[in-house]
Amino acid sequence: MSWPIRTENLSKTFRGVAAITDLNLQVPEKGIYGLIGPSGAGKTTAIRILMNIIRARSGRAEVLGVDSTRLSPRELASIGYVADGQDLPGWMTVEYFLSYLKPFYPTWDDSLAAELLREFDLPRDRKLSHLSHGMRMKAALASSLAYRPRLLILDEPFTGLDPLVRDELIEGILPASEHATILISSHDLNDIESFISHVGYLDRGRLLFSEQMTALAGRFREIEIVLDGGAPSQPAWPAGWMNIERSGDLVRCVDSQFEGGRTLTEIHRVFGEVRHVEARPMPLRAIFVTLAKAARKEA
Amino acid sequence: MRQALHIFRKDVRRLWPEISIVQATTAGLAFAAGPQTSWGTALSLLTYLLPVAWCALIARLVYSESPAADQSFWVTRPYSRTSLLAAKALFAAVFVNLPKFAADVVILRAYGFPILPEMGGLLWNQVLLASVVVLPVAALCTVTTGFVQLITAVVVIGLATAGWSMVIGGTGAGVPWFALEWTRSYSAGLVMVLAALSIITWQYLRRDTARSRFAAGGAVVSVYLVLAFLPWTAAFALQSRLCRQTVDVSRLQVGFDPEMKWAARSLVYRDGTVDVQIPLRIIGAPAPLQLKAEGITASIEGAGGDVWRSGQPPITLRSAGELNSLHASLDSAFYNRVKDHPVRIQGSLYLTLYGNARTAMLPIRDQAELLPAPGVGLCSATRTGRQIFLNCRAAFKTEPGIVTLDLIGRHRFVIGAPAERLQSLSYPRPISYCPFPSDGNLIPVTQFTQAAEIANSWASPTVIRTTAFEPVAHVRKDFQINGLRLADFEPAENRK
Repeated sequence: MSWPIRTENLSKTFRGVAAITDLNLQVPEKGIYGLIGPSGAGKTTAIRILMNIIRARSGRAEVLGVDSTRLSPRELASIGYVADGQDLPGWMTVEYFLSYLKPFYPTWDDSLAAELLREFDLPRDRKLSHLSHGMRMKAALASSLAYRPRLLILDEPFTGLDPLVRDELIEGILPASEHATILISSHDLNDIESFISHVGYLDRGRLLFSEQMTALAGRFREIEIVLDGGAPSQPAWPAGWMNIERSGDLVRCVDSQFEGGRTLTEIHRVFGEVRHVEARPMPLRAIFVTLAKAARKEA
Repeated sequence: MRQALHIFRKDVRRLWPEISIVQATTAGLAFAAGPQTSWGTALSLLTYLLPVAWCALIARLVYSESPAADQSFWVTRPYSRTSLLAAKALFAAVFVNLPKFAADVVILRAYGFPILPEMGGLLWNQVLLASVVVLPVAALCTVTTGFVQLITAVVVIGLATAGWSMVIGGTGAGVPWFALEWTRSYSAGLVMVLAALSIITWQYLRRDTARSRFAAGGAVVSVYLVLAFLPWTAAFALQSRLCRQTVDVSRLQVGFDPEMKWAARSLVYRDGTVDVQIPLRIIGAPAPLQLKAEGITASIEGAGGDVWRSGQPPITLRSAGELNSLHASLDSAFYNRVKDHPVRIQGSLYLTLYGNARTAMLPIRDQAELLPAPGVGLCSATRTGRQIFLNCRAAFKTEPGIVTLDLIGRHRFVIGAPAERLQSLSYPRPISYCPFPSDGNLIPVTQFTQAAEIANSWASPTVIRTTAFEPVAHVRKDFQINGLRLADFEPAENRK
């Protein structure tokens, strides 16, 4: 399997404060990888290192098989990058912006650019500085999709956008980047959970996990156990149980390593006979809230 | 190259208002600097406005793809960095250098200078414009993200410079070097240009703003150090090497001038310092060369072995007409130890020898008629009533050398009276020994006017003769003076 994005022990500090620590990230080819984490987790820092906007203190990052510090115009012509807060040349009209960028990209597709403008409902003759935030993001995205990039990196693209614009962007991104690998960061899973194939959770600069969405959803369960009265008051909790709450005979927890039979065996090992066990699948949002809480508790 | 032109066209489209302002200001300067206009105030204003307009244009140019701004859109686009740098260089050449070149040509033509012989000055002016304005401003802009940071940097550098000047002013290290000043300016300029080139290249190719800012700070400090601590003697040695003529100075001798003993001084001040002046006699100059003392280094050794050493020239030399003196500021403790016994003074006198006299005869007319005066420029001699005016213009720089002016005329009432020198005038002008063909002034023509009143009615000057001597050698002559007793030079009231 090839990895359009791969990092090894990537670290970065800002004035002595660690922004990311030993980040090992692998984004699979043609996957849509969601990099999730609270604000300040290090997502933007990681992405900026990948794009060679800033330099890592240690470790290395490879993008499209090239050390990120050596990204040349050849690689950049295959990468689309859109970030919240990116400075666009406000004096350019939407149309001129696209026509200015066109000669930089050998794979530029005029018909796709026109289609994107139409789909995003972008006014061709309006200056970028006169566009709303959402429209600017659309313009940036259109300018980054029109050459059919092999890799699309989106850093918090939906921040500050209303749901309608967000949906329009998603609808624009997916068909236009059918054969592309996408790395998208967000602090809100709701924004991206509907279309990502892989997810990584970054907290305080550390990648807590990175896996396929289906696997993640499969291994997290909310467990509710009704005890049979004779259970120990201070049991040794199995590894992988999180957010454990106990109220009399009722125990609630999240099992992050759920496997039907194995989990049941664990429950019996801890509590002996129980009256009732229920394992409910969790929505992704609940999984991340659980992880975030656990991470904070550990810290 | 195609990408560079693409970026260039974008910058032209973006910056046309700024380009228009620079072109209008440059054109205004070319017009206002002409000899026929009386736009003195406008010209003064334009000489300030044009550099500001250049700086603003360069800043806008760099900031349109700022290497220091991480969020700038171009950073993640497939720009070839060399194309980007080439586009910016092309823009500066086309909209800053080229118009200034054209303005220089217009001004030179307006003042009657032929263009082809002045091509060296025209081109060197462009080098200086790039070195003093374009590169440093561009370098500063590549390490800042916008005008706020740029102005902050300029203010910080300005304050640091003012502070440094105050500190250095107190030590005497910053005294002007006059004709040798160019060595200091060019040394500092070279540091600045090398640093600017490195920073610009590094920033465009690597975008390493932290290191580049550090380098910029280091460059500013280096410029301060060069300006303050470059030894005058090293500058003089460089100047000597640049003179290709060899002059035999074996007979040249420097010693105490007993005929000028009255000018020797040992002045004791209440603050504990003692000013000693020793008049020097210089003999044996190779004829027909003229001498000019530029500086002196010396040591004074007392009988007990106490030694005082002078600082760097030129403050160690006092010149008044033909009189050249060693000027030593001693502390009173040293002075008191050595003053009553003969001392030994050893040192080196740094001299410029002038020769290759070239003369021009300029007829005095009622209407100005420009004629070439070698070593001076284009000159006209005119008469208004009893006033005689010599008006000279020099392109790009005043040629280094000594110029004498003689008013030549005949006796009015004696038929067949021979022409004779009626009056001599001085011709004060700042000169530089700089070997390069331009001083880099914003207006490429400098003018000097000398006026003389006809003193008597029986003779009337008809011609002004200019004689220009050019520097042919810069030599160091070592000397030793023995047996002087410094106390002998104290004024009578001090000795009481």
